[in-house]
Amino acid sequence: MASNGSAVPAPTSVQEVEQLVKSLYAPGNPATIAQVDDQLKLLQHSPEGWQLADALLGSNDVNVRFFGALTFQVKLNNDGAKLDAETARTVGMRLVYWTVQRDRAGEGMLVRKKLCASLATYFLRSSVKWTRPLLHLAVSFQQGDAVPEEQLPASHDAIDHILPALTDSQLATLLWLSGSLATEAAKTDSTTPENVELHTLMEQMVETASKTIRHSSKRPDEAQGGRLRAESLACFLNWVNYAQPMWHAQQESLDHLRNLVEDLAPMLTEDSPTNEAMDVFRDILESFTTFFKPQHMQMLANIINQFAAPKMLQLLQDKEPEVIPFAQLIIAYGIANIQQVVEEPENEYGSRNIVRLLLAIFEAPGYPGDDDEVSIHNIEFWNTYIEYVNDAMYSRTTDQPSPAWLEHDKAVCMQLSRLLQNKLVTPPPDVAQDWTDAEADAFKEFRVDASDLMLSIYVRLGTEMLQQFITLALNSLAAKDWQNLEATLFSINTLSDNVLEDAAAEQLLIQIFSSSLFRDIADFNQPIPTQTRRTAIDTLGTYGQYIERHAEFLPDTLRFLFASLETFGLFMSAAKSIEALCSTCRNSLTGELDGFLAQYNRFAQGETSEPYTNEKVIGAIACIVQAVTPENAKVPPLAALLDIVDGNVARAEQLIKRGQMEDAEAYGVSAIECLVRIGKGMQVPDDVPIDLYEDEAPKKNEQSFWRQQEGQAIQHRILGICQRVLLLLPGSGEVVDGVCNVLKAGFTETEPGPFVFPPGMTVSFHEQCSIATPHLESVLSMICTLLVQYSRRDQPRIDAEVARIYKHTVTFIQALGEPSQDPGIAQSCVDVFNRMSTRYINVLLDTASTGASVQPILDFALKALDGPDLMPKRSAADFWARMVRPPENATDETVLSRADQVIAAYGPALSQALINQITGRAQRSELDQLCEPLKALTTNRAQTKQWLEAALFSEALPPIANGSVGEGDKRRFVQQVVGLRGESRRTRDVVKNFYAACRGTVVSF
Amino acid sequence: MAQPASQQGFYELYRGTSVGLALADTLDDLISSRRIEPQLAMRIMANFDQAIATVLGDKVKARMSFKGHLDVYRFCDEVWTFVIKDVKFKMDNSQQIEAEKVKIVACQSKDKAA
Repeated sequence: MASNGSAVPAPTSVQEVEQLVKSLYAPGNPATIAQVDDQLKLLQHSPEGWQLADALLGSNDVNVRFFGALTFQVKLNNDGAKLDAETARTVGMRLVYWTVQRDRAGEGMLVRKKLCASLATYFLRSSVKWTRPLLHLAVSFQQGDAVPEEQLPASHDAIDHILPALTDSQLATLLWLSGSLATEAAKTDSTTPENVELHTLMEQMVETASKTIRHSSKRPDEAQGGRLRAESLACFLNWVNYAQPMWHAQQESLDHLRNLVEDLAPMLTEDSPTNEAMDVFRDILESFTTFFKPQHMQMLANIINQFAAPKMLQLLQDKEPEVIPFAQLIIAYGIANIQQVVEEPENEYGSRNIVRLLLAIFEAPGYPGDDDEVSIHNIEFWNTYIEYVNDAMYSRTTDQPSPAWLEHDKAVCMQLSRLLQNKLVTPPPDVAQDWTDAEADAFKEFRVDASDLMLSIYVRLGTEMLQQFITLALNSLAAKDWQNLEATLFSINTLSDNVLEDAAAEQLLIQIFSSSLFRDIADFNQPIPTQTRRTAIDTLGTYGQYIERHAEFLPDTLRFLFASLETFGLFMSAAKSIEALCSTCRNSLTGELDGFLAQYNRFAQGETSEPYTNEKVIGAIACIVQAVTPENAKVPPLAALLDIVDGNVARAEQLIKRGQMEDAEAYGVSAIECLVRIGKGMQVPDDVPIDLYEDEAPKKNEQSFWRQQEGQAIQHRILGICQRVLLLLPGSGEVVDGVCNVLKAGFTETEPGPFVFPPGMTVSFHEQCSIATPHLESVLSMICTLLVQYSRRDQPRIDAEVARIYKHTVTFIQALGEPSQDPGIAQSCVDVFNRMSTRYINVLLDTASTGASVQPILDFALKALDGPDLMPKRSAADFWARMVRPPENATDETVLSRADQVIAAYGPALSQALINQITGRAQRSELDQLCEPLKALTTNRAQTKQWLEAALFSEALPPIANGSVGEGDKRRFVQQVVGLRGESRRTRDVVKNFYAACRGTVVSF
Repeated sequence: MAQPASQQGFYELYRGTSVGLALADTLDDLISSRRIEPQLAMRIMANFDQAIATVLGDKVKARMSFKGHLDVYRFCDEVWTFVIKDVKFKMDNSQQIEAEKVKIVACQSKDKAA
């Protein structure tokens, strides 16, 4: 036996191997066990592995015998196909012998199952075909020894005579082998020629397999608690799973399995193994519906109605978890027969009762996720049901008559929506407080799933469903049934998107908004649960568009929401709804601005004030400010908001003086985030109306209020706040991110505004930064956005500002030196240069000067391209692709000649970097990006072929991992790439093939 | 265009995701350093196809809804393609994201019932 460098010495006898195996399964030092494992693996892979496996199966120790069977399996997997015919047959006979022998010796399941797995591997991997494995093992069991294959009886019904003679344990072993054969064969490709014979054998074997299953399922084995019948079910499922993708055309083979249904289905009604039977039939109903013939479905419907239904209803009432398999079986039956369930309501067993049972699940007591574990599963059936109904409804042409089942289905949907709403009722606090996180999450998930289902039901029922909920809500309100009110409002909120698009439905909402609901909710003296108040607040947010069209509700609504801001448990929802309403209804609220500011000021000094709500509410008020006209009227309320932000900054300053840095940072960051929110609130909405009859010509930007002294003062004040916070907290990346967001707030605006800063101000911020600035990537990303914005044709050129950006960004790359110093900053710098390459190519190529400043950029981008870091490499590939291609729309001779000079000078080095990457330095995932500059070179530069060849034969090329890639391969690669002249898909294929060859890996996954 | 289903019936769709690409890169490294055989790498990738489809189907609980204008739709070779314009995505936490154009490619998740 081979020796090795392991600390555990190589064993020299079978006894020593046995000892090693025993020590592998005994508790001990993990390092030693790992060494033992290594040593045993070596033995398993050694040429003597066969003999060793055979010897170990004769051991007295169960672990050693298991290892022996495992070793057979390992050897078969590795070397089974290489065995000569005689050796292969011997191995097969030894495995059959041991299976028979171990069964006679009363061996446990562990070793016998492993032997079956090894036999299945033998069936798949052996160099000789094992044509009748089940019969072979059965005859050998009967004879008490391994019988040579050629002595097996030839008659096709031989198995019928043998099965009655076998013991239960022998039948179980046969079922394991049969199941393993089906499972393993299912993993092999049925389309390759080498596996065709194997799958033909499976077709021949199914008859024997089904006879074994039938015989085992009928054998009385009460003594073993129905275990043999459970094994026959498991084996049946394995064969069905095998047949499902394989036997589309082989109906005869499939019928052998189908014929078993009548034998196995009665197990659903027996005490044991009921659960296994339900799992198996459910699995097939879910995954292979067409397996069952109509008579099978009828049989299952009878079993469900006569046996499963009464049991399920009783278990539902008792809130027993054992209800789940019964419910799942009925759900699976319903989904598999959805057309019949929907369209044949007169069919008592096949439809009406199924619907009744599945509605009963929602009717049963208990909270989903807690003591009701079935409703969560039931949603799936009802989703399928309603999807079918909606499809059928909307795929009908208008001249087709309505099917008769529509009326019945409508009644079902009405009942379903009511039951569903009832299931959404939250538990009383004494129940909820005992819930685990998992139970609370499951209930929440049910609510979300139920919401989706309700939306689908709304498509079918429309306003009738909404009216049902409104009536329920008003009844609950009158009865002060707050929990039920909450669930109903939640349901109404769920429908908001659809209701708001339906004028008829919207008219119904007045019943809610003109009721005493919000007066009651706003009355904090009433003992209303917080959850109910919160959901009512959400109603105001979700129906913001309705309130906007009914301005009479708006001021009271918002006053209530502002009051809710001061209440624990409500302030988050209130802030969210305030933001939604103020944003949607800004034009109707300008008259309320002073009042809201006063309410906000009171809230800001209260106990419930915290960053999240502060930012939401200040953003909400900014939305109203945006709607104020004329522009100069925006100044006072805006200044008031800035006063609040200033207050936060002053607080941060005080805290710094006291040394409370953490709190100071929280206030500073919050101040900037408030500015960001104000900036977003001040953005003009997308759907602003255009007045076609407006005679007055729009003012030019220069004449705008925000370009005048008073407007600019506001802008300076905003930037001043940013500067103060930056000075206070120079090490805070969050502040830098926030300032970038403030500056970006005006980028998308088309008209001047308080946050639409001149580009020079943004560039000045960039110039303040160095590579030591935290989150510098955010600054550079913001600069990229600025460049993209000002590269649009409808924007003026800003060459002077871009030149400043260029100059300062060059200092970053000079300070970095190598891209790997900080790959994040390196990538961002290259991205900035990339954004200049369209409209500002003149700046990038430094045409106003000698071009000396271009060289550090090109050198840096080259290093990034040939470096190890993924992100700079991607940006550099993009950079070089842009550089190599002729500049777009450039007519300036200086630009064109400078671009030409760059490639003439850098072409060889660029080619070398690309070849270094393609021959193995890059990762496969980077190849698509690397192809872009390569394609640009082959399309635009005649010298590319020489450059690529020079690179491939250069001494600078790193050693290629696969030594067999020779001169011819390299030349062929260049020939192919150049010949394709930039054709995208094929160039990528050629590059990937060459890359795989160089690395010795697969061409594609 | 979705890749064809692998032999076990799982699409190779997710090989182009970051995690799929990272796995391919890692397998390349393992093959190049002769720590695994290419056949094993292919098998691992096939297992990845199955595992990611299962995990995304069973484990991911996050959800979102979206609204937009359906610009183009087609159903070809069992693959649905929808091109939607001016799309508004609403996330679990009520966060909204907007996109000018979104392409949705949807494949049959299991063809077993066929």
